[in-house]
Amino acid sequence: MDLQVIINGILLGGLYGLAAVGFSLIWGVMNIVDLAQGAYLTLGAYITFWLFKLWGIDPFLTLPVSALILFGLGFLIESQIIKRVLRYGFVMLLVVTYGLNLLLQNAMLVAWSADYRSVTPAYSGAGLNIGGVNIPYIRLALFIAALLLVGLLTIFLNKTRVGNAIRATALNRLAANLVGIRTEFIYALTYSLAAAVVGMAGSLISMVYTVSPNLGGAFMTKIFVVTVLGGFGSLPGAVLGGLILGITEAFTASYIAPGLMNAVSFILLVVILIFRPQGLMGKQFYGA
Amino acid sequence: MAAVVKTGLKPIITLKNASTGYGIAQALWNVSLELYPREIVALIGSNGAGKTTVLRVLSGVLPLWNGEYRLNEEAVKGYTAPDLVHKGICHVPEGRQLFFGLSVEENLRMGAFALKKSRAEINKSLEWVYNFFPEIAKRRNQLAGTLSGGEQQMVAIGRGLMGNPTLLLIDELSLGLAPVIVDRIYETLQKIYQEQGITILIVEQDMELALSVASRAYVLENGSISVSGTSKELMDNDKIREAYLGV
Repeated sequence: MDLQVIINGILLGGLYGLAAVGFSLIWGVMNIVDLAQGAYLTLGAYITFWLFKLWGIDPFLTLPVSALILFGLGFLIESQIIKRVLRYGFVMLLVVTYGLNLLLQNAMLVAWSADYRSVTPAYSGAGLNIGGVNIPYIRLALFIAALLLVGLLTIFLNKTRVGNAIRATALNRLAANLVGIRTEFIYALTYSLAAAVVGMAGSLISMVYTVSPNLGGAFMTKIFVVTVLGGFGSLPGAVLGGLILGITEAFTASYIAPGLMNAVSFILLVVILIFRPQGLMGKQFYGA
Repeated sequence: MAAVVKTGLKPIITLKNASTGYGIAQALWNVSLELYPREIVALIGSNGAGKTTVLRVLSGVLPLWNGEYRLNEEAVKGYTAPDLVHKGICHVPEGRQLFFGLSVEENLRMGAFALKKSRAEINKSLEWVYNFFPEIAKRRNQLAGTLSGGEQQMVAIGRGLMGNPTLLLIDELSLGLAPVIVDRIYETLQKIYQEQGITILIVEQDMELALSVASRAYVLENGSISVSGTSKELMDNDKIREAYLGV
């Protein structure tokens, strides 16, 4: 086994995990497959790019800005659009979020063109070398930041009053209403929170990928695989799914062919679904 | 209709000529009822008569199309279910609707969500509920989805009690439960009623059982109230006996 390949996969997998938690949360709590997550990710990446390019702000320091802007956008979209479509069910929401994704993606194309841009802080080249294994500092920092953010979100969901309300709403919306939880507000909050998290993932991703309006589209496939692998609604599941996908991709690229990365990921997905249709950790959030 | 007015008491709940339904399907026509402090009232009727719909109106899940809903003489308009929980109306819904993925104790704690009480106060309420239902105290750390039907109903009622209600609405309490469990739960309800002096509205298909527990009852037929009165009056009513008791 090539240790370098495993390390590469793990470092990448952390980012995949963070990118998927918002999608997973929305699916678990609101029963919506939110295809607009890709556009939110792209927007987060652009926010970091422009703050870095125009004012030279360190990319890591742009995270709160991404989070804040996307939280606001998420709240606006949920309360003005999603909320009105909720009662028409799952398929209609799929269509609406698909449309939103196209709209946002094209708006970014018009505003910022299809040019590939990159965020290159001074430290982006440096790395650590332990026994022949090369670990770029930036990838390590991204990995740690991603895990930290998922950890914070997990603590928020499990330990706070609002977090409890989100979990209760996910389990049974009627019962949540009947114990006094304002589930309409919880839906808006969950959606905004998820947009903020995927926006921050976009900010981190902009440091290692080139930024273009298509960035989110490429990641949407990965987000989908990670979420289903881990079990929708489960945050630890998203991290686990991210790591598995990261390692699988790294191995496929090194030992089979880079072009087959998506094919192998989906084969893995199908195999896991045959044996564990609820995903690897799908039961945790939903219980019995 | 024999209206039973308790002298000197004002109703906590008044429904007057209430009509509502689902989508375009009307389910209730001109339903009027009153609930007074400190009483157990039964809502009786066959399947599809509209019993659950009345509870949904009272707990704010379903808005009225027409008519009036007053809570302590104040009009209830534009209130949602969470608003009414904050005003002391707790609804134990049909099918119990527990949070299956949470433990028994977490379910009960969620019942106090609206109250913003301190942890110590919530712990006190918890012990108070466990005192009434020792069966579920033993299972406090077990997932609610793994309990038997009777235990689930106890958790559902306990969750309602955690909200410190002045009015407790209980839908289809006996549905699918063994008679011995049903008796056990009704006994406890009466104890709670005596100790707390709250008002309880029970929806029940078993007429005899309902009339033995409640002091008054309303009979729903096809979305309208056909008869109402004290339990004794209804027991002595030949038409009711024939239609619901088969004797």
